[in-house]
Amino acid sequence: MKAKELNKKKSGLSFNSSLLLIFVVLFVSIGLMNNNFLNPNYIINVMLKNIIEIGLVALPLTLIIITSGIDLSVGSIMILSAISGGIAAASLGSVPGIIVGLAVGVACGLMNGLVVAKLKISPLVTTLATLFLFRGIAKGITSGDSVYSYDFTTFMGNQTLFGLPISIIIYAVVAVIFCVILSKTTLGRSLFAIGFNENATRYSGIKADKVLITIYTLCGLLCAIAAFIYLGRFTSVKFDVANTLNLRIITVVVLGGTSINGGIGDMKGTILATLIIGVLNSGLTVLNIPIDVQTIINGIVLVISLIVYSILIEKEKNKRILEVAAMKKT
Amino acid sequence: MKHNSDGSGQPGSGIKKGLTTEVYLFILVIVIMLILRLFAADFYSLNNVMSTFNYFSYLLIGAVGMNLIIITGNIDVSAGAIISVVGIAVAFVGKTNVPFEVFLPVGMAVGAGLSFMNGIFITKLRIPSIVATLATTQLFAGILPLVVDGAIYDLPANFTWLAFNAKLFGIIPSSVLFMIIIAVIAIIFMKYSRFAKKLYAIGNNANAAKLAGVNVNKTVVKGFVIAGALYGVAGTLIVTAGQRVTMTMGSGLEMTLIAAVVLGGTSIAGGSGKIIGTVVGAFILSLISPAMNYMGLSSDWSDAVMGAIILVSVIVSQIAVMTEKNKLNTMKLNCNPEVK
Amino acid sequence: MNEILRLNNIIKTFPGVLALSNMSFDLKAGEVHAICGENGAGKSTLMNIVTGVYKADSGDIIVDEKKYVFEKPNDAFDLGIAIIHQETSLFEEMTILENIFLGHEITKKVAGIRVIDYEGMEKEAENIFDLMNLSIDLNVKIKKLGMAQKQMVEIAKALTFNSRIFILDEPTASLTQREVAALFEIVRKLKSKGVAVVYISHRLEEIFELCDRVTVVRDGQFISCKNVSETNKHDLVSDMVGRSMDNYYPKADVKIGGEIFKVEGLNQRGVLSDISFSARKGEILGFAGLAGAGRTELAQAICGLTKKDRGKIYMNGREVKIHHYQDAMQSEIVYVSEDRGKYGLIVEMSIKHNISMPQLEKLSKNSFIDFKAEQKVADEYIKNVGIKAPDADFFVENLSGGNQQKVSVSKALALKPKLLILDEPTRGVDVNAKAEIHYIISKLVEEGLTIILISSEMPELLGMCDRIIIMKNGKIAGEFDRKEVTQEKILKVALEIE
Repeated sequence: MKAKELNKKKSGLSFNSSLLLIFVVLFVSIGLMNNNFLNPNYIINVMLKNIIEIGLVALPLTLIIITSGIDLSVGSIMILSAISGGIAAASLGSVPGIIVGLAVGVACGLMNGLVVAKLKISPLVTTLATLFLFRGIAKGITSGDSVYSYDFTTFMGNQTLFGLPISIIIYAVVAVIFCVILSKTTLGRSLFAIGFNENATRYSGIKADKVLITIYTLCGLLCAIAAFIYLGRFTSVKFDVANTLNLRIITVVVLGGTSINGGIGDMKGTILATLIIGVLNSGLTVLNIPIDVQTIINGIVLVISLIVYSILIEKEKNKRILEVAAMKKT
Repeated sequence: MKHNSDGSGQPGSGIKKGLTTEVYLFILVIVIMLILRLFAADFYSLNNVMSTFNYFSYLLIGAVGMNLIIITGNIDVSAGAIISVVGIAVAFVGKTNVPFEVFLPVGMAVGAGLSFMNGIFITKLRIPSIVATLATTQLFAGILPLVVDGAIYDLPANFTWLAFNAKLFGIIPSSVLFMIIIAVIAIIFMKYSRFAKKLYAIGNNANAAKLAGVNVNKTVVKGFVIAGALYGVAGTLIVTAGQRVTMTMGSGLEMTLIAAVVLGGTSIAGGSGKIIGTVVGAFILSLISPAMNYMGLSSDWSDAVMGAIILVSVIVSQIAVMTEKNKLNTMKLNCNPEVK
Repeated sequence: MNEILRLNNIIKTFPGVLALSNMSFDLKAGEVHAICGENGAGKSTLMNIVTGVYKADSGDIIVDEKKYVFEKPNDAFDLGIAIIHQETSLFEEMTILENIFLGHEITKKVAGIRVIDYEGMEKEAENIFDLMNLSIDLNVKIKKLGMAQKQMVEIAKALTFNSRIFILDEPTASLTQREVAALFEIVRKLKSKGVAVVYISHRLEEIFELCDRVTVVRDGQFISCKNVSETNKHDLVSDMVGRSMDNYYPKADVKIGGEIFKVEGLNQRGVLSDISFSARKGEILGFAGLAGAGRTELAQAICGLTKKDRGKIYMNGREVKIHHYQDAMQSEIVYVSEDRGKYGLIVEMSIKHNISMPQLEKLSKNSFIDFKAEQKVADEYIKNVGIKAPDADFFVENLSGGNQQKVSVSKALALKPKLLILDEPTRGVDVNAKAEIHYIISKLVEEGLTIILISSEMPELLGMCDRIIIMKNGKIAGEFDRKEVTQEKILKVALEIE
């Protein structure tokens, strides 16, 4: 078996097909249990729309996890961005709201990136601390009160274009951009390198600091965009709504085949996983399963994907050892 | 023919040993207390002091547990959820009018059991602790609303005995007593038990620990179970402080526990850290919320302050590590041990 | 001397690989027995069998004339077999005392409870260190110790188990000459106490200085076992490669041109002091010195991998400002690190991706990678450098040490440098590949490249270099031309002996 074929298996071409299969099976089974589910209107306006924020943030998070990093503060960045934007919009107008929202998201992401890249503190610890810090700031500036949506967010969250919600169009565009970034650009390649061996990557002349700061800041930016959509959809947010977001976003990334240890990952997988979680969440709602059980199921999905994935990697490794040895003999 | 292989014996090395993290922390504590004296003198009223010590007790007991977990190189963000579950469990038991002696064992059992689950996910299923405990946070917190409708009211009078009536000399709350006993046992335990050495070894180099004959999985799970039991104690103490128990009692508490441990000088990477540091760390944290209150700052900001403290203390200790590394490298370059 | 250990006809296979066959080995109490062989010859597997990490498929392990089967490392451990690896398995944040006794601390009962007996442990540790003639502060954390000291701690640790068979796996790789001498002293002390020492090393000079017998293994089989006094280097090398190898440093005569590179007054506080030297076109300039002399630090400072405080660098007569490694690469200076697994190569990625990495920007348009160009470059180098792999998509981790090193070098060459700084390029590489790499180096200078060769292997320096600069304690201590240099001269300067 040629090396190229070995490599393909590793990159998970067959893995993505399994994800697609799971998606189809889930979709069809839930559809059979409840016909409303198959209604295109439902699919677009409920199933897909509900998963957009998570889907959007999962894209840059995939990049981050490939570098064997992580960003636990994404939920907090979203909320802080939504809240600051909302407060600014309430007193100054929609445009300042947009500017502040974006600025806060970018600033938070930048902060994460700087601490991770320049101070060399582990992303886990850094973003755990900023998770608390950003959420705490959100609590402080609102004193626990709600913040309300404004024109722009309503637009982002609810407007449709040719029958499709704008948020879905935005996601589609951004998703394609991220696919391209990961598979075809120098930035994308350097992510895998950093994930495998950061030192060697630096010694190869790649400015790892710049790369890391870029992706964390990018993540912050996307949290801000997701925040606009979120605020628009829910019309009001409080500082403590972000709690389950982190888990669901990480679940999507892991389910999509990105290894939590870094070096391995595929944007298409993340997109497929987003669809799967989307189907799962809306499907469970349609089947009248309470929210809390849904959260538990999300957690279980995460755990199962991690286990399955590590088994697959082990098997792949053992297979390769055998094949390499066979090759060495010839 | 002997030589000193550690560079000791040179002038100044003795003084270096004294300037450890603990000393810096003690200084910080004194500074904070002085500031309070100056700006908020009524902070030192007996009631307030006792209530601060109360909070300090819960914190420290939980933080000792978290400390054990962090030493092994793991982390536990589900501590708050575990404490919430403990609270509800103890409340359930309390409603059945059993004597209060039952509360503590029940709390510890529930805490230990849940934490055991964490331990299994991390060791047997080999899930990284951050992800595992993220998932279990949702799991534990998510089960509660299914089991309980809203909050639990109308608990019998004896429920709050521990908090309000069991006071030493009439003033010192039982929680403080528990804390002191646990802290003292913990300090002795970490120095004199073989188990503790295994925890440190695992945090340093799990593979090497395995080769040295340590059963890594078993030890880590044991560590989680002990931590869980401690969360159980903390949870029981917290919940018996009132006659109404909510589902989100412990929500967010893990943040404070982690902050206490990190502030106390334990490295989040594992392998090092002393209980006495965590004691000081927890103490400083327990002063913050009330201190902020007394100085006129809204308590809504205490979460942010907590987060900032974690971030700053991690940054500071990282800078300290980096400077020490540079110093060590220069030292190694310049001193080749002499064999006479 | 009694026979303390014997292995008979050991066979060990892994999925698809026959690692050991017909492996036999015997060890006498009180002897120092060397094991020699190329990388991949089976030394590590053999040691893993002896220490119980692997279980042999068939064959006997006989200790003190009794047969044993090792199911797990503890089985070997309990019989007194201890191994000291290159990467020490010590716990950095714990003290020497804690490390030595981890897992088997001495305890005593206090009020019915079992607690650690620190005094008891300190006493025993002191006894052991006395035996080794070392005075050590037991409460120092491992992270503060140097490599040599860590090895001493490992040895002490093994002694607390009353180990009678010590396996030293490439122990001198990172030691200074003085530390090597100290280590040899300890080995001799152990020998006099009846302990048997297995000494695994590439360094033939050390084997001839320290050992009583030497066993050569090749391709997983036992080849020969001779008394050291009855054999010589050429013999051993013959056994190791299966053919005699003369002249394995094929240095061609190359016309050396004018000065192409100059360093002036380079300073790095606490590390490098006032370094000035120059290199000429087509020259192989060697850097000798004991471990810790500052050669790697100098190379990294020159290349911008670390910051220098002062100093000017000139390339082709023009000053170049180097603040980052990218600047060095711009100035056509490339550095190949000594620790290739850690710094040079990303073993989980393919040969192609590795080779293209340093010049990813060149191989891309507007940040979009030109995959065809990347493939072309990789194929070119595989051919020219002679990397043995089915194709460019092969993962580096599946290559042998020698081939990995070739990828490392290719990575550097793909940048088309004028000055190539090689830091220990043949460390951990087997004899065959070593010769091939030397051949490559020779060809490079023939084509006009200038090479700075940092090496700790005297024969390599003496055989390959036109000039040799010796460093000590961050300073340049001396310089010799090819014609006048000898090993003794280098050592004398490196040790600052009058």
